[in-house]
Amino acid sequence: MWCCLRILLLSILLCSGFRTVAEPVKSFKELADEPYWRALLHFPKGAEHSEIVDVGFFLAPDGARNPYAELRATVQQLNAAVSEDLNSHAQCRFIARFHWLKRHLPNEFTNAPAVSCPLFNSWTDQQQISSVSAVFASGYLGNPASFYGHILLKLNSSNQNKNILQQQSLNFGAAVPDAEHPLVYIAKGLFGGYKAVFSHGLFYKNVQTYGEAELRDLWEYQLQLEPEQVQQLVFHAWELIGRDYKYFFLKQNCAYRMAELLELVIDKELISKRQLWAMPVTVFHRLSEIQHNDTPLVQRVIHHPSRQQRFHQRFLELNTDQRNVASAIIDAGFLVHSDAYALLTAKQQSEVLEMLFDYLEFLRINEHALFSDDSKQRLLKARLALPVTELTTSANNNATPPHSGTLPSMLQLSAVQKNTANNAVQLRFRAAYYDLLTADAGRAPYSALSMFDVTLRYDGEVDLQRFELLNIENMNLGKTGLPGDGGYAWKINIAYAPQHLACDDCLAPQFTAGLGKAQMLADNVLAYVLTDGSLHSNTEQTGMVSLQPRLGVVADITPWWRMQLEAGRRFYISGNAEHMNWYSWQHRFGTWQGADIRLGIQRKKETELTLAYSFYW
Amino acid sequence: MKISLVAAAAAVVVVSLAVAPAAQAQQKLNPWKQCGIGAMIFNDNGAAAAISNIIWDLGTTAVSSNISSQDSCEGAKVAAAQFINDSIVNIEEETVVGNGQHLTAMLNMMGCEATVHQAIINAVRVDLDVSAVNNNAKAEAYYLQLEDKTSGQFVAQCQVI
Repeated sequence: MWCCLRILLLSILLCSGFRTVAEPVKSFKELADEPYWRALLHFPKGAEHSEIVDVGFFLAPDGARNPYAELRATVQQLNAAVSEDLNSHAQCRFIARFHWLKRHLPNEFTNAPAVSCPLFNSWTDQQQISSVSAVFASGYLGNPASFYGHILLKLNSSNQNKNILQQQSLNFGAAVPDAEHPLVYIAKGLFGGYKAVFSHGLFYKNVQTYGEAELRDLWEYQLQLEPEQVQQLVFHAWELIGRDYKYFFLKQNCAYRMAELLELVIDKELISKRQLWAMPVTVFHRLSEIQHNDTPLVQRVIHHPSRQQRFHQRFLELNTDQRNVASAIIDAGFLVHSDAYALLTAKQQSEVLEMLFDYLEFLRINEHALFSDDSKQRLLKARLALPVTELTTSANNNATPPHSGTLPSMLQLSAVQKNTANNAVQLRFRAAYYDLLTADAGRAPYSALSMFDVTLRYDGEVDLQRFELLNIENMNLGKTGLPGDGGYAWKINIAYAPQHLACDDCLAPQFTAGLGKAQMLADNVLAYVLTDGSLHSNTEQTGMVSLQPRLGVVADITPWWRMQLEAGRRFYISGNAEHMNWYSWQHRFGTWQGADIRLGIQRKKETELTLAYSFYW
Repeated sequence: MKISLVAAAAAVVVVSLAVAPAAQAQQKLNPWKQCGIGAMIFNDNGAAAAISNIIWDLGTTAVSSNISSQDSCEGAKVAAAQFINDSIVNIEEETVVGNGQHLTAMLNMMGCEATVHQAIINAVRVDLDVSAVNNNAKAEAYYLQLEDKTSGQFVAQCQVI
């Protein structure tokens, strides 16, 4: 009953077009030049062509290039007679256009047919979507397209009979064929070789894909929008589903398109259109800064922990006896019969078994040899024998939301003092994202992921000091000590960098891969040992292959002071250059989102002391 | 040989079509057998793991309508069956525990009133068989068992509108 009443009220509202104040009626020509109309057609500012490459999105033959023709055709189609298929009528396919045009051209629609839209009503849960959340899926180092995280929208229904898993969600992604060759994937992703679309599905599918299968945390940012804004966004989202765009990995990606959609109703820039790259986390930084009607636009941030995060959290909540019992169960091949287990209360037993559910699923995803279906069955049967209890939740989850971390792009100015040569000034630019000294908020702890990191040095003349195309370093830490939790630390680096600090002209293109192991020595102290193997040009008789074992420590001395001490020896396997011992001791001071101060000393044949101020945006 | 097999198969189809309406009226829908659930993309976590930024439901009209349709594959119960198939690992875990978000969503989809959710879960727990290895088979068995409860003991409280 309420549902029907609601639809009726909304219909009245729609018919009135939210016309609370009389607006002057504009001509077709004037309306076609309105930024909002151009935004609905996805014409970038100043562009003469829509970014949507799907002819089905346009009602005029030249609609993709002519907003005026598209407006005329849209008005005509909105007034067209209704066929048997209600859903195919323009009023159902282009609801945002209809809504906006009725507001500005009321006289054009006095005889328009009244069309109900069953599919749209079904999708919007009979138009009960009452709020919108932007959701961040944390970065995933298993897939280059996911390094930088992902953004999607969740459309929340006010229907009390639907829980979070049943809410609609909106995704934007490239349509990539199965088993695409990685090089083709990268090339096509960079240069617009894939089509991309908005797609929809219930939120549980995101939970399955990101949280369960890829072990990525989901961070939900509930937005405080006016009901009309929610409706406007939902109307336009509906128009976009399934429409083809060109996909560009660096810029016209999920962050760009979702920001564009949100900007339609928020009226603030969420992603810079001038910048050559767009990152999902930027949207969340921006959303968290925006005030809307004098209150924060982000009403609430909800963490939906991944399976891995739940496993860690549940393990950390167990007491020592429970942890010992868990270890004994694992050692016994997941047999749940022991004296120590019997001594636990039923609640404690439940907590152990539920932690082990998460642990086993974590092992399954990682294809670890310890996982077996039999093991899972034994655990399930043991839990079935215990009473029903409240599912334990991660009450002490203290994960830091992504928007509270350092901003992703960096410009750094440094003063460099050299031991035996002229002092210098350095300017460094890094497009994205973080290094081992950056605070860990919203990403894998003790990891580095950077792209397009270039350093210029002035010491009487300007020289390129270093260029790193890509640097990934993952310490791959476990938190529980259980088998399979944590793995090998690894590194990949592609750079044009000097072999050491004593030469002026010894930059060499190099590809480096490293493997090793990291371990937490205390709560805030990480130690690691890695061996890097490099292929590089034969510069200064180094040959083309070198090997570099190294040992390091990263420590959070205070929340605002992190340091990294690292030392190693470089062996030039195929050249005549002398092997080289080296060390580096770097510090980061400050936890501001937009700045930090860095102090470091490093020796590689020459010693350099560096003081740097970093600015982030 | 091949021709005779085809002919035999065609005869079976003709016979089954002829008797289908009467027989189906007596039968409950099995979405795995009649709607192809299980052959879809979320058949197991391994498959889902390989897919990033996954695209689903494109170009289809299979939006859960909340309208019961026993003889089609677009009704709320089929949506519930799909949900069970996609989330069976979580559903099974939550069932042995006795509660959880996936169970709530599942029972909502089956049109069950919140007041009987716990009783249904308790009833399912009694008969729960966790021994199947294949997730599709497990999900199918779970659904059929649940459907038994919601269309039997709890039919008055589980009515898809």
